[in-house]
Amino acid sequence: MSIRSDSAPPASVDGATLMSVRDLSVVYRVGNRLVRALSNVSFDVMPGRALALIGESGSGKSTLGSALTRLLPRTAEITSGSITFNGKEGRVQLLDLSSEELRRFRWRDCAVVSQMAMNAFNPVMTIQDHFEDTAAAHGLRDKAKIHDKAYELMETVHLDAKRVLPSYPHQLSGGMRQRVLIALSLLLSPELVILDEPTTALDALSQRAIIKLLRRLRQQLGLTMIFISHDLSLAAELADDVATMYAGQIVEYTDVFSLFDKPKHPYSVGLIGAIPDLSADGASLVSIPGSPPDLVSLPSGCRFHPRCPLSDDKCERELPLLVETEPGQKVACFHWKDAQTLKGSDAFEGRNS
Amino acid sequence: MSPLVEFRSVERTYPSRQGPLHVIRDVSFTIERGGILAVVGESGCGKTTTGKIAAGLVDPSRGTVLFDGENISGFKGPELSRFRRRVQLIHQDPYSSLNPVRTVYQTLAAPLKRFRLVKNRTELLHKVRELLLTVDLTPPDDYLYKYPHQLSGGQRQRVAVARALTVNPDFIIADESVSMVDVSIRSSLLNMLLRLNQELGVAFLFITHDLSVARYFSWRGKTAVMYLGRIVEYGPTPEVTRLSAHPYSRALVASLPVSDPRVARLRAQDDEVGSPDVPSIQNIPPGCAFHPRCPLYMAGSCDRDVPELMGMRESESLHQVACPVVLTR
Ligand SMILES: Nc1ncnc2c1ncn2[C@@H]1O[C@H](COP(=O)(O)OP(=O)(O)OP(=O)(O)O)[C@@H](O)[C@H]1O
Ligand SMILES: Nc1ncnc2c1ncn2[C@@H]1O[C@H](COP(=O)(O)OP(=O)(O)OP(=O)(O)O)[C@@H](O)[C@H]1O
Ligand SMILES: [Mg+2]
Ligand SMILES: [Mg+2]
Repeated sequence: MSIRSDSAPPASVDGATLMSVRDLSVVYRVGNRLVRALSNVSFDVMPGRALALIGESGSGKSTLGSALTRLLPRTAEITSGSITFNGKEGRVQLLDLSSEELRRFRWRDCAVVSQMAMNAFNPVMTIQDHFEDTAAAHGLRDKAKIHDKAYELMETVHLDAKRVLPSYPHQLSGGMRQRVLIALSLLLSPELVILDEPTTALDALSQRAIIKLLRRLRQQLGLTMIFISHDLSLAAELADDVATMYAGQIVEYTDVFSLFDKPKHPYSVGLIGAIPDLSADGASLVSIPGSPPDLVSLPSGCRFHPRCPLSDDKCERELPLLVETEPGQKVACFHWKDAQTLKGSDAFEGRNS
Repeated sequence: MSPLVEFRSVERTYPSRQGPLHVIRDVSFTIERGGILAVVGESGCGKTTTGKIAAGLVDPSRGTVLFDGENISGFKGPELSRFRRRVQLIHQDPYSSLNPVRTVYQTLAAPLKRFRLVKNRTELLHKVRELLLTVDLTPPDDYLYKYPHQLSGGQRQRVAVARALTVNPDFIIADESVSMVDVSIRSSLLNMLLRLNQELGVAFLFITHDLSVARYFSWRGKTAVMYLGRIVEYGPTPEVTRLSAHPYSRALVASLPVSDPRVARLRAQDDEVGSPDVPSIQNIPPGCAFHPRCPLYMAGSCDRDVPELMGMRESESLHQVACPVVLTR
């Protein structure tokens, strides 16, 4: 059976999407307990666009990134859903691929830059070896050519190729390793790149350089991107669309302008309100009161209700679904119409004061 | 009384195929008891190396580091062990700094037991739970028996912070310790660390790539801006961050990320101007290392003389900058 069949039924998937995720759930087993890291996640990625996945620490962003390329650890299990990739070479169902097919899919169709910059490297191999290894895994063995390409990519990410290529990972600073990974992910010119916290270790100037680079790559190569970040400014700088995650679910999905102008989920309102105002001197920082729920025993109803200033009985009982409010905008909240009233109010302040 | 920490003309070089790499050059600063020094600067400028030297994990190639007035390279035996308790380094990379075969409980319990900071098992468990709560890992029982690979990036980072707190240190070197957490948790971690500073007098060397975080955390302390291994601006944080004088510090301030998609897109249009060359410690430009990227560059002097840190003119304060062009303006 061919894995890339254009005659596959369109199902619910719009032909224009590059990746479609439907009803995806993932659990981790820890002893005899189940950590529900992702619950019924659905979304589409349009070709050429940049999607940001944002949300608090532990909300499931990296788990989603790993699930999309089937890089989850063995203790994780995908308990429901489908992931369809609709690339240049036809449609594939990711959850049906054999490990050999997956190996080809990764890097060439879809590359991941993982959050674990250090773990992603083999400590006894130089950076140059990493490039050769990755290329060899895809049947490319022309060393001179790979070297040239690696050289070019190093310059693209503002690294000194002459020094960095022969270095071992521990000889590079944190930010340098992160840029090496970005370069490596581009080696096989994938259609989709997933970047998990691509700029967290970088200073403002390097961050800008990377952002500029990613913008350019999108324009030149028509690259599609998914960023994972807790940093809203990265979404503001780069994303076309933003999916806000909370406790393993997508609670809002919208274009970037609407999110910043008019967040519809109370949690998004809180996140945006917590962005420090840098113009204020010695500004005090605002945080959302309470903590994210325990993924082992989730609250009933809406997972955000214990922290939500708008919650009522219904929120405690029923789980709100992600529904479309306007074309291209979705939110999972019974009270989204009132979310605006939380803006600027002190409903979310005072956690530590 | 001597300051708690003092760097005197510290240098560090590493050998490389193409000759020695000067990672840190002529770095001097002091941190008072209960003081805070934030170190900011570009990726690769030597922040982590500075932190490791302060923690005694990397030796300076030249210069001295004093702790409580004593040269740390002379510490041995019980003295060294006392130093190791009083000074805690929170590593930049929580993925490689936590022992993968230890649960969170084991990681936090080990130093408590080693330094006999608890009386019995009940107290131990209680203390570990308390530490987890302090870093917002709630409910603590969910985390006690997890291994590092079972935690998200931000959760690991908080375990690393909690570990540093176990032994009641006098001096914490925090290397990018809030880089992986979202704004909400970041606020509460920063406030928690500030409380340690204000209530218990814990001193900090606070390393961050994020000027706005440095500014918040060290508002009452000092900030050092590093560029290719040297401190180019140093002084009280309000002055260094509000009245930044060095062209490099000014560039850092100007490129702070914005959290408004419209502003971000407008700014993208002038991104082509002044795009950085690849700065390299392999061949550090002669004179002022920043001169190839500098808008104030003056041929004949900037590319010849290494500028020294000097007090800003007409300023009573301790605000220092290493740029003769700015100083003579
Ligand atoms: N291997 C694992 N076993 C058990 N639980 C896990 C495992 N990996 C992750 N988790 C848990 O799943 C949840 C989601 O983790 P994930 O890494 O996806 O979060 P994240 O949104 O990427 O967070 P961060 O911003 O901190 O990186 C967390 O609560 C985490 O503790
Ligand atoms: N063991 C080593 N051998 C050789 N070079 C090293 C070693 N450790 C660090 N370096 C080099 O020293 C320079 C400074 O590294 P350091 O880790 O101190 O930077 P940093 O300012 O912390 O950067 P980042 O913000 O990216 O973490 C880098 O160019 C790095 O490659
Ligand atoms: Mg993550
Ligand atoms: Mg570092």
